[in-house]
Formats: sequence, C-alpha cells, structure tokens
Amino acid sequence: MTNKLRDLRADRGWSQAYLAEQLQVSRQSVNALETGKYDPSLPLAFRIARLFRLPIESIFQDDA
Amino acid sequence: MLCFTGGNLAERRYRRSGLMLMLSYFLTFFGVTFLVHYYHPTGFRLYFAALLPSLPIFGVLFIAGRYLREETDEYQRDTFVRSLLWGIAFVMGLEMFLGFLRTYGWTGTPPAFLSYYVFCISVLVAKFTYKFRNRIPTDDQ
Repeated sequence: MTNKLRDLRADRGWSQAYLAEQLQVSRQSVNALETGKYDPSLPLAFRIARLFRLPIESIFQDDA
Repeated sequence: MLCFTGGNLAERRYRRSGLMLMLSYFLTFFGVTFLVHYYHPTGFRLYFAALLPSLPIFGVLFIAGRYLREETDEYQRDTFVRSLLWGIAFVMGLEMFLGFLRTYGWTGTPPAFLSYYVFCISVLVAKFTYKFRNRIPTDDQ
C-alpha cells in the first residue's frame, strides 16, 4: 500500500511532530507511515482521512 | 533518569517497572545463589529458593502484557510484538540447537535461565533495529 501522507502534510506546512500530535501517535509512527514501513489500521486510516478532510482512497492506494 | 523521560505514559511506565524488576531479579538471584551455596537447602526450602528469582521474570512478562494493553500507539505496539517474536524465535533456535547437541552426545548442562537472557537480548536488539530502520529525519518537515 502506498500513501500521499508526506505530500499532504507538506502542502499544509505541517511538521511530523504536529501531525503526530493531531493523530495522538508518536512521531516514529508518522515517519513509518510516510516511508511506507507501516500500513495503518482502519481506525487510524479513518482518523488520518478525517484530519485531512479527504476520503481514505485519495490518501491510501492499494498496490494490487 | 533520561530513560524515563522519552515516550508516552505506557512506555515510561513499562521502562520504569522493567528496570525495577530487573534490579530485583539480580538482587534475588545473587542473594539466593549465595544462600544456596552456603546452606544447601533441600525439599520445600529448595523449591522456595528456586521460586524467588523466578518471580521478577514472571513480573517482566506481566508488565510486557500490561504495556501492550496500555499502549495506544499501534505502530509502537506492532514493533514491540515483532520484537517479542524475534526473542521467541532466538530462544527456540537456541533450544533446538542445544537439543540436537544433546541428541548427538553432548553432556553439557547450560543453566536454564540462559534462555531468558537470550530472550531479553534478542528483544532489545530487535527493538533497536526497528528503531534504527525507522530513524526520524533531523529536519522536522
């Protein structure tokens, strides 16, 4: 699975620390998500989508 | 005390409890070993002596479970579980290797608690490897 988290965050001028704070996760988690080392659970993916006010499928893309 | 300042509440609680339990393990281990060496207990007292240093190890397993229940960050939970699995894999590998050695005629008897040390070291190495592989960039953007 790939995601546009880094681009979306950059567009809004948010730091990793700020995004982590908003999602109530560690900065390591944000970094792992952005670099594709970790795929979020559905609840976290929904939290991310709500924060960016975008549908999940426009943030996360299935590689298959 | 720097090790208590990083991470969230669950992580800090886990590290603090873990350190206290490891300290109590070493104290009871060396204390009981000394007493057994000089007093040669038998029967119930020997069972009790063996149980004492085992209790902090059960404690460590208990706080690992508590940490998994309290940790709200799913990525941290995921890496912790993966690290535990690495620990279990190394212990099983070691036990299999020793088992084959015995099968082929080796008569050595390594201490049983060696498995626990191997488990702890493997978990730590795995945790640091995951942390290193997911290094946070120095610039915040």
